[in-house]
Amino acid sequence: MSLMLEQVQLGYGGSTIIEDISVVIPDKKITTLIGPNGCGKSTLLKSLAGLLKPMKGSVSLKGKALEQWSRKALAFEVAMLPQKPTAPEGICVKALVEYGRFPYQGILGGQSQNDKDVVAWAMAQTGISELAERSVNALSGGQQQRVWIAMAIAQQSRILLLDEPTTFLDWGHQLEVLELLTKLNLEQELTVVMSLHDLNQAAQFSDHILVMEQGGLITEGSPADAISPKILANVFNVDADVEIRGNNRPYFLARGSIQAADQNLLAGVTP
Amino acid sequence: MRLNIHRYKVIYGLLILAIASGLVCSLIYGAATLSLDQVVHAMFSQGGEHSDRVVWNMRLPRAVLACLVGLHFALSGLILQTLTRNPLADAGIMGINAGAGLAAISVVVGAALLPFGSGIYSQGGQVLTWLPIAALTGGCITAILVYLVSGAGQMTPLRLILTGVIFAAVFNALATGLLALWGQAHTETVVAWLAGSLHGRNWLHLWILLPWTVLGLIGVVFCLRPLELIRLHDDQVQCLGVNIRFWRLVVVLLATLLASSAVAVAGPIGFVGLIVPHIARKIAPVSFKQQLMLTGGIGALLVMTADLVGRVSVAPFELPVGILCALLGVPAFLYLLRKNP
Amino acid sequence: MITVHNKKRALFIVTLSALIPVLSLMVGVEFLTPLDLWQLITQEGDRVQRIVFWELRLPRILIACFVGAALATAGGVMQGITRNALASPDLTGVVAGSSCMIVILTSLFSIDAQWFPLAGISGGLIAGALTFALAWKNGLMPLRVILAGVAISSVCIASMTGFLIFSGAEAGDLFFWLAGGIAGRGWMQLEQTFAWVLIPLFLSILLTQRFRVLLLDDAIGQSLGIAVSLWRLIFMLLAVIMTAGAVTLAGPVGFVGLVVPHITRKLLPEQSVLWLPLNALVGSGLLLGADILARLPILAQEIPLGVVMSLIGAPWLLWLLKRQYRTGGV
Repeated sequence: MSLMLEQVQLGYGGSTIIEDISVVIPDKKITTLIGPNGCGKSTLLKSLAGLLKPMKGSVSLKGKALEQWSRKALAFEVAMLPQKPTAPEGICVKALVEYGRFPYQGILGGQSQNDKDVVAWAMAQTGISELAERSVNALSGGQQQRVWIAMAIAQQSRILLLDEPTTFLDWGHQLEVLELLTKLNLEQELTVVMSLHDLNQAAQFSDHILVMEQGGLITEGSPADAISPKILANVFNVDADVEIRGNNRPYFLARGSIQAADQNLLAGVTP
Repeated sequence: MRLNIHRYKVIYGLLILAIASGLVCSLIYGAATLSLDQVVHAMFSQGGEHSDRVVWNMRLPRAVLACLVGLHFALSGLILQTLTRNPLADAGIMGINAGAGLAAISVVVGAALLPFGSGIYSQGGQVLTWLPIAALTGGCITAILVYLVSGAGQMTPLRLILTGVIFAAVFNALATGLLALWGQAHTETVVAWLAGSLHGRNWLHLWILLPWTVLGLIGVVFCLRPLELIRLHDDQVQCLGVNIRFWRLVVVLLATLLASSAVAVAGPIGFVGLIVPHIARKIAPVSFKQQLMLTGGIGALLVMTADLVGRVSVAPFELPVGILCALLGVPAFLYLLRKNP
Repeated sequence: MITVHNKKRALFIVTLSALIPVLSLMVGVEFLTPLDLWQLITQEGDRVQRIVFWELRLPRILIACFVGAALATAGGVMQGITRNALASPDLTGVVAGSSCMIVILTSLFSIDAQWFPLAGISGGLIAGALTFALAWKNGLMPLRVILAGVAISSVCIASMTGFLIFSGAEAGDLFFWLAGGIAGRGWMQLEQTFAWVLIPLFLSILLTQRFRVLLLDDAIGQSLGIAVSLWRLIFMLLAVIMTAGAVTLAGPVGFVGLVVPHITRKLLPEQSVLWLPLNALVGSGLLLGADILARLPILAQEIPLGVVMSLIGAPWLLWLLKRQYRTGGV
């Protein structure tokens, strides 16, 4: 059974951010959350990682609510990369990746041969083996992101959650990270759930899309099904052309933003 | 890597050498300077001559105690800085020293004022034995209060420090007031104690502190891994299977235990916990384990040296070690404050 | 902006501030009824009561009023001109600096009490200037000011303790003074110091129009043709002088300067012309109240004022912090 939310309401303190969402995250697929800023993407990811207890409803994995999992048992299932991870000052790449093995070690530490092999594997997968002794803070943004992903996959969990993994990267590095995630998904059967801002990247690299707006789920499905011009107009206030390219991936070209006054009109006109 | 290991060997060698020579100097110098022969004689034949007693009963326990106290404060500082991810945290800034001190003072003053009290601090062994426990209770209550007021689960390092500073101010004012209430006869003892002093400490004090040192060190070993991880983003830490709320509390209590027990025997010595971890981080920027060990060693060295300087510089008077540490530590603190965004 | 609700509150506070001095005159080891007070003022009463009233209570109450008014106004001024809700004479090291200089000069040169205000002012100025200079980095962040204040206070307290230890016989007296108290202060101390408290207090209230401009954005102030930096400096000087005067009179009493401006902001907007005077009023009321508690015959001796103020101020402060955190202020 996969990771799923049933009629979940989420929020911090007294304020509600997400009202009543039910989603099943498809196993061994890449799922992407899209939606405007503040629509609750990060909140949803947090609850999927068991970091935020739902106010109502339940988030469950393998049919068991996340609250009932011990943190340690959950660590074998779900890894998460927050939007702005912070590396301890002066730490080197290898040491940071080794932290990913924490759930497998006793309280006093001590690495087994397996731990060392997995760390080496994770660094090779992400192409950072040569950087092993470098200080993390001295690396470029793209390299740092790969180090964080290496740490997350060294955890060898089945599900990897990433909160806007491309936000602080330039174009080339964005693609690099997304290609890496696709490779891990294909070769390791890793389930990936992430939030992205770039719709074309979301369409190109995901199997499943969740469109969110103001704490609600608007629609979900394959990229071509989920993102239509109407959705783009309603959710993002963007007037865009959609072109379906090879392997049924849509491509979007914005014509311009829509002012609120035009929106009702547009919603009526466009099919 | 191999080069690094060699480098550490040299550094540890130097540190041990420095502590050893500091210890020897502490035995030789003081109100009266002894010869090395006299010191050696004292170490191997207890009792006997006057100089033997000075070395064995006064200078030796005091120097060792200084080392332990330095170790306590420095380690608690490193732990708190790691926990709050803020290079300006330490037990003094966060109010723990003040809370521990207030509790200890309450016990002493209580014992002196209440009819069944068994005498004052400097004489009563019985009161003394209870001091670490009182200080620990005070320190823990303060730590928990500071933790709760700064928002418990949702606390930010910034809030933690701000709340701590204010608690420290409150408790210091209360402690000063309580002592003023106690009366003027004890002013000198009390003023020195408030500043943090090792004057007149002997084997008894050492034996009282030692169990807490052992307990604290064991705690440090067990908290090492979670502490390393706590330096990452909260969400990541939890996804690595660490119950962050639990460990935060454990780690705060560990730092409190270390600082409070030291406060109980030496008074609140500030700024050791603040600057020593920075020196350690400069020497060992990568490995947290090395940072911990270096912090302990340098803390011991610093307090022992400061105590020696305080004893010798204005003899026959004594400058409390806490004053020297503050005068040394504050410029370093201000430098860090300027440097950090 | 003064709503009816606020008016009621303000009326309550003002009435309270008027009642507290009367209460303060009554309470003590020797209890005086209102009737006694009336007799003492209008005609000659009992001899003991007269001494208690004229020589002990009255000067003490005046001192408490001055100290409270000075510290509260200084706190309000500091918070206003630094636009920092946590700036106050005690947290910025001004109080510690004043006390430190007084202790050092007393133990080194045994200076006479009449020089205390000058010593206190110079110490407070140095400490305050250092704190703000060190905390300044593209503006004054609250946390930086507090941390720099802690550092400067620590140096002052450390040096002060060092000198206390060597000052021998005087240490006891100085120590009680350091605990913050106005026990045993009389007309003499008041005479020596009152100018140092009252003149800057009145000046800052007179100049309140300038103060209101400083509360605004720097650019606005400049466009109104006011030398913002200069006036900020002047107000800071006034605040430091007031504080030093208060410290001379009562020792380092904490929390008044921090807490009172937060109370008065609930009653009047900072921008109001009456805001600074209101600080003075509430401050003196608060300190008088604390002083009444300090000399209630609970223990064999008086409780130092600093202790009472901490006990009153601390919960207030925590509540304040908690609220700031909740609203995301810090």
